[in-house]
Amino acid sequence: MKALAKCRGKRGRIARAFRLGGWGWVLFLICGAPAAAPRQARQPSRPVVVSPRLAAGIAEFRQFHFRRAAAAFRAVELAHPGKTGALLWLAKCRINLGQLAMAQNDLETFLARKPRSDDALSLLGFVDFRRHHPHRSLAAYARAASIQPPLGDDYKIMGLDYIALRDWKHARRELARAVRLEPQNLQAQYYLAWMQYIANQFTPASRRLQRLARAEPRNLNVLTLLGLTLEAQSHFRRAAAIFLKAIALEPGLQARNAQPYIGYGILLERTGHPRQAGRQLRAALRIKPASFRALAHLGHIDLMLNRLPPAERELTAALRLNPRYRPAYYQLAQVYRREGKITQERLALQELAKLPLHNVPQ
Amino acid sequence: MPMKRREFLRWAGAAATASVLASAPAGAEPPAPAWFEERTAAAGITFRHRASPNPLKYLISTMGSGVALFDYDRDGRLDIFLANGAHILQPQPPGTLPRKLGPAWWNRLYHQDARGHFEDVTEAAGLAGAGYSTGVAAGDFDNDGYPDLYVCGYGGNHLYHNDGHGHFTDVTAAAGVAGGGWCTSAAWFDYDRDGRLDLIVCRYMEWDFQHPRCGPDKPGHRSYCHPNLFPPASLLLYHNEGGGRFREVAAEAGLTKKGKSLGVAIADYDLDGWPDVYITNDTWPEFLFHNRKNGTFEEVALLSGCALDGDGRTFAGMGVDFADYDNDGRPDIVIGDLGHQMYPLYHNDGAAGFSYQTYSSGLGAISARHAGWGLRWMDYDNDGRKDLLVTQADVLDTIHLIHPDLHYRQTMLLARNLGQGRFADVSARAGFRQRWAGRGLAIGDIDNDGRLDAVVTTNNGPAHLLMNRTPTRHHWLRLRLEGRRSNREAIGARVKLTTADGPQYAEVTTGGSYQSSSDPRLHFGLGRQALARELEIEWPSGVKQRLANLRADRQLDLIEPEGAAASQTAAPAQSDGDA
Repeated sequence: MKALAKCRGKRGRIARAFRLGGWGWVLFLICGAPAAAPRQARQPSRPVVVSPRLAAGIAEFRQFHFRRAAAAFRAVELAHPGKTGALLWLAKCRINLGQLAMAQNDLETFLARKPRSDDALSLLGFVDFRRHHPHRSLAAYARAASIQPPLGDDYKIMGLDYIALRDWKHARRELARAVRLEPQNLQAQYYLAWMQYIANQFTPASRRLQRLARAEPRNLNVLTLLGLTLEAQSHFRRAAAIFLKAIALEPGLQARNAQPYIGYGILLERTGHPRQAGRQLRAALRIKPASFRALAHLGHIDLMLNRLPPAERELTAALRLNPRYRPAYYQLAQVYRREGKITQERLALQELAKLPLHNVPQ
Repeated sequence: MPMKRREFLRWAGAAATASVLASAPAGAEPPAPAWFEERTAAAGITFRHRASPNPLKYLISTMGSGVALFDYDRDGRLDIFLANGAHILQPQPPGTLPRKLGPAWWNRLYHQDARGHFEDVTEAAGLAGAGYSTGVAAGDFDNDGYPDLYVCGYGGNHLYHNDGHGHFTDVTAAAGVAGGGWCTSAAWFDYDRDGRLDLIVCRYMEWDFQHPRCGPDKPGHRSYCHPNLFPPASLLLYHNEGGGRFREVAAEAGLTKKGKSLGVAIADYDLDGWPDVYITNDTWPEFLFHNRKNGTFEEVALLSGCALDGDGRTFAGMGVDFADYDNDGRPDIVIGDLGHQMYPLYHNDGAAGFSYQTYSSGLGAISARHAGWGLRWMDYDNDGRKDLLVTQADVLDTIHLIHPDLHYRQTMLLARNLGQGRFADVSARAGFRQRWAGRGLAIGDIDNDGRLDAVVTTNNGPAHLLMNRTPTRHHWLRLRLEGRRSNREAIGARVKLTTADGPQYAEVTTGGSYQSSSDPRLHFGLGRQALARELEIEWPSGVKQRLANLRADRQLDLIEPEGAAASQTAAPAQSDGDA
């Protein structure tokens, strides 16, 4: 849940155009994917003053004792202002502690002293990314790249910045670079697969995800995205098998995850099994009652089954959660028409007309 | 560790749904016979479509051509007309049109003789044509008993009058139906019920040969441009004024909406006695023009639930058919579109409008990886339920470079109607294993054996004559209606046929499918019933006719009776074509 809360802000910007009916999936895919970790491959700038306290702080940091490490770095910095790399280490601790504003201050102070520290610039780019400032993040990475070639993780974050800016072309480019530089970077692989999925490049996406699923067979997000990708290629049985595998794993997770149920529910809906689809979507709603997608598809299923009052209720609830979800307006209009509520039907269609027309991609 | 009860329930639920998908009727083949035999070469048909594809990827060269199945000489046997392309220059200079440089580019008329052999009679018939031909619509516009031909094309259309002696005369100029732009499909219908056939013409887009380069900038990756790059075009509606003259009335009839139309089908969807029009558009909302009975139409597709797919999205609407597949008396709509879009199936729910049944019918799962062009409802095994035959292929010959899981050439689809609104794919069982770049499709009983056959066109390839050899003991009845007060071909007549198994419904039309024109005779499969208890005909003039106790397995030739209503309990005036 903490991870979900962290990415909530970014989702809003990312969530827009998505193939098969909206960008809602983006939310879970980005949120559910492993959180982007701060860069760590590069060594910190060489300290001018060698301090035993600094070495102790680094040792704490490497054992993930970030609070203790931060205290040590703070002390070193106070004792030798600007003479060591402690401020940079402190920023790293703060990033790991989620103190992003403070980390940014530290980095800006550090960069005022050492404007050509590519390490600090890259970290600043990462902080800007985490603080939902993709333009600033990209600018910082660009400055860092002018000093030192970026690492795979840097490209990954730049790719995510471009996703936030809905610049799919550049996002794909940066993620592809990340994967080329670091083929073992599973996060970069995942995000690249996701970009390929939303760009309708289903075949390379599913190949990549199959490799990822072999490397991380219990990663629910990888499995769910693989299921979606297979479904998009109309490999319904294979998609169903993957969703079922994810559903089998899901109860064992610490944090419940509704997405495999939603994915499988939609698959069943599209392949002509509305009642079974309804069961999966209701399971998803028990885990995540505010899933507009599960509600909308449940509403559609009830419309298909001519159960109009629940359909109206579910579609209305879905639209309360996501007023820009086009399919729900269309389906709600059909519910109203069947109920003889002509005025409401027209209103729903008017709302539909306000949203950009989506073509089903081939 | 013992399994907890809740966990067990969840697992049980998942296993149950898994088994549902594994045993899904969609895609599964039921034990039903189906067999179509390719007889093209054996029957003497040598036609080959010339699309003139070139590296500049002019869109028109992937859109294919149509076919008409019609009995132009009234010998009781269906003949075949095939539209053909023309030579496209590389590049085609501004202001010029492709030309038919020689016989390879001619349209072709094949006459069927008594042995089922087809003879090319194009030259004698005067139907070689001009320009880049696309669609075709057959209809007897002057009520002389001989069906005429309207041939669509790019840059101008042609109306050919059938003189009844094997020759057609180009009467385009006198009739005033040349049109312009890029015409795709057309259909004859009598929208004002004055007894004369009118003509509706689809135009695809405002397109010319000066379009940009499309597709990735890599060798071999240039592709045909997406329709989004071009503005929509208007429809044409020609009112038959009599005396061989037509007047273009689209605007005054309310057909003012511009679209990107590729297909047209006609049916009286609200059963008010007046023909309505459904138009498919490519990446544009579909149109349903409701006939207001006063010479005008109102576009009601969105309010009727048949403008968009089930999620409110547009799709690449291509071929279309508008007929009652579930025998509830109301015509339904099925459309061909591109891969991953699933063929839209709109069930006519009466006053509640149309409902999107693609998913629940199983047609979605069947069609998800295909692209459908020409398509028609047809009861291939005479079991009393209309099945669906579809020509399939992608629009892009480079589709595999974009989606390796899709193919340009695809097999035909035969979707068997299982009843209760469900369909199953029986294509392989029907012998459809070869992949073609399918486009046009016309349906009719070519050998008059009581089984519906088909002719298929392919883009830049041969036509295919598919003879239905499905082994079946099911009975059938074929009707050829001839109007008197109504238009001569009785286009728009509605028929209800009732057997001990229940009623079936059909309307006379030559339209539907994609750029093609089908046999106007009505075909009913009667299943195990050798007797039709009752036949009710509502002629376009409003005359109602009722016949009872009709023996099966033959063709009935019925002439519109005089008077407001007629009832016969004995055999009709004449019958022939017994199997």
